[in-house]
Amino acid sequence: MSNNGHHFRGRESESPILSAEHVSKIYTDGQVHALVDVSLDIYHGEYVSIMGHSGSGKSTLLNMLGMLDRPTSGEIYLDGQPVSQVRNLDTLRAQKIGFVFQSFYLLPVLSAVENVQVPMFEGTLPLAERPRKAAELLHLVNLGHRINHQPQKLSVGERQRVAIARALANDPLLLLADEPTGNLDSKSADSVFDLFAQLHRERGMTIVLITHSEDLGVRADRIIRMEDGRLISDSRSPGRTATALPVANVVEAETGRGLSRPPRPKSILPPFAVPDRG
Amino acid sequence: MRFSTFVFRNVFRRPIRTTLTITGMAVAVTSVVTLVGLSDGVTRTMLQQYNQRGVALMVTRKEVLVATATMPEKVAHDIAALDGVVGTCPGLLSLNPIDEFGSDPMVVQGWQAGNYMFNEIKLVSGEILSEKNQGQRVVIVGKELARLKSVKVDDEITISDEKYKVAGIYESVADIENGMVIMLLDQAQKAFGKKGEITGCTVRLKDNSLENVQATAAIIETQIAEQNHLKSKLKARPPDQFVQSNSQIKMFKGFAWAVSLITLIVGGIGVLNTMFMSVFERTREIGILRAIGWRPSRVMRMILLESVALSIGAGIIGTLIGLGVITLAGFVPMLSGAAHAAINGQIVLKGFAIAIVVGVFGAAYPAYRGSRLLPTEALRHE
Repeated sequence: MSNNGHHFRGRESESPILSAEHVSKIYTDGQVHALVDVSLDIYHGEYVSIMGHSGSGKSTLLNMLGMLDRPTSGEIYLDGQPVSQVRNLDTLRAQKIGFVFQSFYLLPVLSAVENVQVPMFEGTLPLAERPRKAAELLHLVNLGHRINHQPQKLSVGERQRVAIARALANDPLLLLADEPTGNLDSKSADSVFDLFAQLHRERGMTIVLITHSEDLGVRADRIIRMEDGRLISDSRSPGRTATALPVANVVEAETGRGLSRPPRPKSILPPFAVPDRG
Repeated sequence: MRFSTFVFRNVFRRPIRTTLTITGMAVAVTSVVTLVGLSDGVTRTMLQQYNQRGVALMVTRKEVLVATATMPEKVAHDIAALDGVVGTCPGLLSLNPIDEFGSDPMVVQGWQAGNYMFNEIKLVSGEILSEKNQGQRVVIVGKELARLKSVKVDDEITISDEKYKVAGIYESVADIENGMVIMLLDQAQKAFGKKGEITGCTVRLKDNSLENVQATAAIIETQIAEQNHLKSKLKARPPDQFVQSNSQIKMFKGFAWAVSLITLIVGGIGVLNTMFMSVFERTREIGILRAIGWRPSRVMRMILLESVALSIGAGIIGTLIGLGVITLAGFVPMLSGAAHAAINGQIVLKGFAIAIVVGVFGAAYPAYRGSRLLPTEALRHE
């Protein structure tokens, strides 16, 4: 078994909301090993940043965690259930995961409040209640005064806030963000990170984000660093008391025996509901 | 926000391209509405003239060109003598230019003096033709033709180098007849060099049941044909069959559909191009939609509905222009009847249905491609 560097085994009394277990990803075109035997658990209410150089595999990992792609080997568990057994990942993504991307890709012909409603087509909220919910989310991201503005009339920072509100549209279990401040100036980037912190603090939102910025990345509670498709460290941000103890995976490397994974606790959430909607 | 609102807004993201695509498709719809509408109008108005008068059979030569193939007038008299026949109208039809009306050929019909057909038309002004006009060079002119060419009673018109006096202006229940000139049969035979000949004969029966109509048709095609040395050369058909088998109508219909098909293909390629461009330009955006959980079927529906929205726009514009062109075609005397009959709900529905079918077909492949995009690949797209 390969060494994945440091690997959290904390909070074993809780059920992880999202787990990667020995996940590898090989891109057949060019035989690129984008991820090499990565294992990690993410727990409810965690605020995790994944950092690493370009090509370190962090976006690939986020794609696997977000069910945008399937691993070549290994398994992803969402709320204790193996994702490989789910046929309709689209509906699962729509209902359980909120995505924020570097390019916000708001639809230019829709107002902010309408853009937030776009994921709701695949949600369960009745049509009549969607505008109110979208407006509430825009208030949450401090854009309550600009709900009817079209994206081009908003600053880039405001656009990313709309994208964050859009990611929250279907009340996801967790929020995944891929370089959410990559297109923003430092002031806007700062305020977007303030918003993530606020969502984490006030709503207990589980957030996993990728960033290049060391300054912003260290604002998360837990920092995972990657290199060459492997996790090289997994630690708490300095100054924060760890509730989960980092357990170095060196035993595995040195003895050839991995730490035995405890049995998965029973899910606290209902099994994946994949309703068929028109 | 409804899904339809979302789709509709997307369509107008690129207003110039949308307008151009709609224009291309509208041209196709216009050609369908105009040409197919007029060809349907010709059929309908021809049927009208028989159906309105309770014509059970139309007797012509088996050869296809009604205007040129003739038979002896005696055929009509023999048919009139058959049991159960309540009336016949032998006629000689000719397409002739009338000098005063320009070089376009006009439909000139010769009817027998005293025939019941003269009772079927309404006089607008002047007088109707009767036995007392035998041997006189007089005609009556259909209301529509009279209006278009400003013809009045007592005017003179020239047919085959002979002057004819306009005795009356009439109105028929059949649109096609309102664009014609009618003279007495003997005059028509003289004018067109077809003495004792007719081009066709309508037959009215006491019993219009299918069996009786078929039985009478069989007698005409065998017994009457043989009596007149026209064995296997006569055809007696109910009006709808007669009109459907009319070679000129078939040709017109074929031409109408051929031209329409070409414009539809061009319009369809326009839609295909637009929708492909639209999907290509929005690859990353589609990637985001897929990432946030849109199923492939919803992406497909979005693209197809965008195309249908374009089609509806093209349908509205194309149909309106088409109806305008048909109205203009009504100023051509030969087409006035067909044009009048062409404007109806059916052609509007046809125009819309075709626009939507072209829209859906044009967008089918781009929609399929769009829906097959994998979110990770679409997000990496530059």
